[in-house]
Amino acid sequence: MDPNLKDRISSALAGCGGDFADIRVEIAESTRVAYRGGRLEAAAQSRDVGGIVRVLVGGRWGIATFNDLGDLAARLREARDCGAATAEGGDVRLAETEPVQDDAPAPMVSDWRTVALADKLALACGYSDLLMGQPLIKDARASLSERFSQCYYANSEGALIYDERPYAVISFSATARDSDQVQEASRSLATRYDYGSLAGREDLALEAARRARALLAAPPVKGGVYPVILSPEMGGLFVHEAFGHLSEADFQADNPQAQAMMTLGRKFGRPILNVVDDASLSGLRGSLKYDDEGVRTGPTYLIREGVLFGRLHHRESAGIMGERVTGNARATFYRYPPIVRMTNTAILGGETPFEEMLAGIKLGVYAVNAGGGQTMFENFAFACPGAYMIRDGKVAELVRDVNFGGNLFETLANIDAVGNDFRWAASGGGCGKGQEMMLPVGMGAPHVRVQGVLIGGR
Amino acid sequence: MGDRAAWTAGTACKSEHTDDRMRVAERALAELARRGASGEVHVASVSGLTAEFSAGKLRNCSADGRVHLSVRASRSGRIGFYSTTDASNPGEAVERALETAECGEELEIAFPSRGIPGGDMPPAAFDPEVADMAADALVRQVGALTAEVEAATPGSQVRSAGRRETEDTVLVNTAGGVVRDRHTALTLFVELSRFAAEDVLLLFQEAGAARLHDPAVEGFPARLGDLYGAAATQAGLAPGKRRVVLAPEAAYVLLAPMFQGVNGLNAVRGTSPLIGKVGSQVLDSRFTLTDDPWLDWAIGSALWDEEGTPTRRKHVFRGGVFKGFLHDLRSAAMGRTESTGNGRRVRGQAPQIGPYSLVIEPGDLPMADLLAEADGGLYVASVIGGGPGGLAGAFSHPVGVGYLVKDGRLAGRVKDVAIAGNVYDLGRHGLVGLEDRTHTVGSMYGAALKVPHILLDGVDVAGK
Repeated sequence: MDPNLKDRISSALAGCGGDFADIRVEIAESTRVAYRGGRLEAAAQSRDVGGIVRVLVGGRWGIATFNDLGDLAARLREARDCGAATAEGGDVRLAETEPVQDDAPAPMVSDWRTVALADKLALACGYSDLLMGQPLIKDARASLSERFSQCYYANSEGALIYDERPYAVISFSATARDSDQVQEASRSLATRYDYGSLAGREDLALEAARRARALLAAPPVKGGVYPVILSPEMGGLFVHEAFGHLSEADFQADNPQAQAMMTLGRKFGRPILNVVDDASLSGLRGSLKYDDEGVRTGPTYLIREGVLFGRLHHRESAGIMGERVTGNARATFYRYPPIVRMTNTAILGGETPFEEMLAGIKLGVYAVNAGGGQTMFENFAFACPGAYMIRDGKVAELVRDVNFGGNLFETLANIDAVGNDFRWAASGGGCGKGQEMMLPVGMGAPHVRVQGVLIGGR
Repeated sequence: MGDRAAWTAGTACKSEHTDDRMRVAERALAELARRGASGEVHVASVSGLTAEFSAGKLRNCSADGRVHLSVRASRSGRIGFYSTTDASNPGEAVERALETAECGEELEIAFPSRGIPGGDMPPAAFDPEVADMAADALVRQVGALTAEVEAATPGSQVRSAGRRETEDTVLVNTAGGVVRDRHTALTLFVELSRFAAEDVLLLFQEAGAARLHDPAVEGFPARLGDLYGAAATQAGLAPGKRRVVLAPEAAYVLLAPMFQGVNGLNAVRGTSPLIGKVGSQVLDSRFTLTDDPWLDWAIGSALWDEEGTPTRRKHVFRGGVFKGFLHDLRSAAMGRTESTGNGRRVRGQAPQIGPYSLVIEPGDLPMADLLAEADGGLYVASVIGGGPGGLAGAFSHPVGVGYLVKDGRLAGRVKDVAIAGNVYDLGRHGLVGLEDRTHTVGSMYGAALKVPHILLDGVDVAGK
């Protein structure tokens, strides 16, 4: 932490004008090493320094982003002028929060900043060699990406926070080719504080190779409507895409139609369905002590016993809707103002054993591997590079090119079994919203059974 | 268009802003040379203004300015890369790049010397009206667009945003290559929604151009009004193999897997299904796809790519025949071939292969005839998800917004359907026809898309 920078940020806010102002500064050091096809593809480092100021003027935000930390007061004036660009009145108002002053250093177990670049390359190289030595694997990638951000936040209400946010991910992908048939599979592992945990994970690399090879012989899934069992990994992605984005209140705050659709107390599913978002859990991909408006994080129940119970807010959406701030204001980088984002989102565990879920299905699909996902509120989609058919209550043959889609309301209502085997995904995925990509988020679920899921296929 | 006398090879555009960047770049380049290394230095300075509206009100107006200094260094046959937003110390950036080169990728990249441009004139890419656009003018423009869309789509909720941006770049390398560029961009985005109980309609429209007054950023309200109106009723469509019209906004269903196939890195890696097919008939003879870096006023058009290689207009598929892979310097070095001028940069990252404007040549079907041919089929305005299987050409997407085509018109919204197929199978055997005009829509991999409506037969449609 740089106490001088902290002081400069704090004093720049004094007398800045406007109804409210805040400053967020980020200093991020990143390294990425990647092997592809058995050869080193990238060894890159970067240092990203910059900040963003927001000034609330007449119910509108004026915002300025910058790299030069030299004259923060000038940046505040620039933002204020932007906010005053029109005489038209806005209606932005902020929910009240208690201004916090705190330092939140990361509890590093093994800090990658102390590891030599050559050692990081050796780690990735070992995984790469292992992947390329597997039968039928024609191309493979093993990469290590890490980022350590020092974040400073202050606002005109007196908040002043220093927060460290480390993220590291090791990723494997394997491409198997046999004649014209090409298939790819991937795995990844994320950590927040422990570089050492990324070593010795040959099992994950080999799993990626095995999956890619197996997909070569797998037929495409036949499109149709099936009962589906989602693995915990897929269940986490499902709740993130199919429901989580709908619970982000920034799209509801000024949209009466959306508010009517998302009225608290509305029944969304059976009583077995419980969904929560919680950044305060330690060490997960979406964990934060404070959000990007300096609000202390905590658990927010979104669905409780099948009923819509809460939603995610930043100060603006909570202020407009007259609800409690939840600490979900997040920005991928300092270049963006914070918007409402998920943190660690999960379907909580239930009581049904996996075998019992299978037993009720004559013909269905067991979705195992999570690919990407997307939502259009009512509709959602996610890719599942590998899935198994379920036949007469048993897991049967592997199928490929599986893409799920569905209607949110029908799908949540059609969840008829929630497993007793909850776990958080250990993978290193991220979430995109608007212009911002790859915000680290955590996802968790047990096995979940859904009736009547639409699967695209040939 | 610029005046030929106003530019020379390697100095596409010069301004006082680029002089600052040039000094930083030259200091870094001198340090590279002093350390016995070769390489390139890229300095990009971006300034922009963004205005966002929601529910008819201005939510925020933001100004941004940033600098990216990137150094790609080569020493002892190894490549290193470092980027930073702190351009005050070019020497440190070179030091860190060389540190990564110590254990970097083994590759001999031939950095281009001052190249001879492939085109006669630089494409028009800088509009002072955009560069100088004040915040109140941008707010007025986005506000007027928002009001027009709201009027064309009664009952909808509209969010919109506009951004004007100016980027100055300098690229220098140890082979003597120098490229200076300055371009503008004005992009507009509209999202409209309609929520009713369990029925949600979400439509997007996005377009951009380098100049203030451009057809690409006009015509939003009418297009959104048509799609919005047609979604007022619902229709059904039985699953099976169907005729499908891909709207220009949904063209990436085909283009995304195709780009994976034509990406030179995938050729070098041996994973492209187009390996060994250069010069072969791969698609229907009516299908021609061009990568065009010289379209006037298209965002990103340039005479040199972002590695200093002269760009060229090139057919990717011509008359259905595959004409060749796209390469940057790295993939060209790996594959012992030449860069096609497709080295593009996402700020702060090493160059990678990217297209410019992707243009699908129009066909001979007026829209009315195309819809008549599609009778009983599905009109796809948008899809959801990237879908699996891109490398082999497979696609599979739930449809975001789709319509039944009946009696030559969009006859109601079809919900809960998904489309799937293989772009090479459908492109060879399933092309019914192409609309007789193109539309400029959105972007893909940073490239503008200029495409017609495409009618395919035999697309797998799954649904309830």
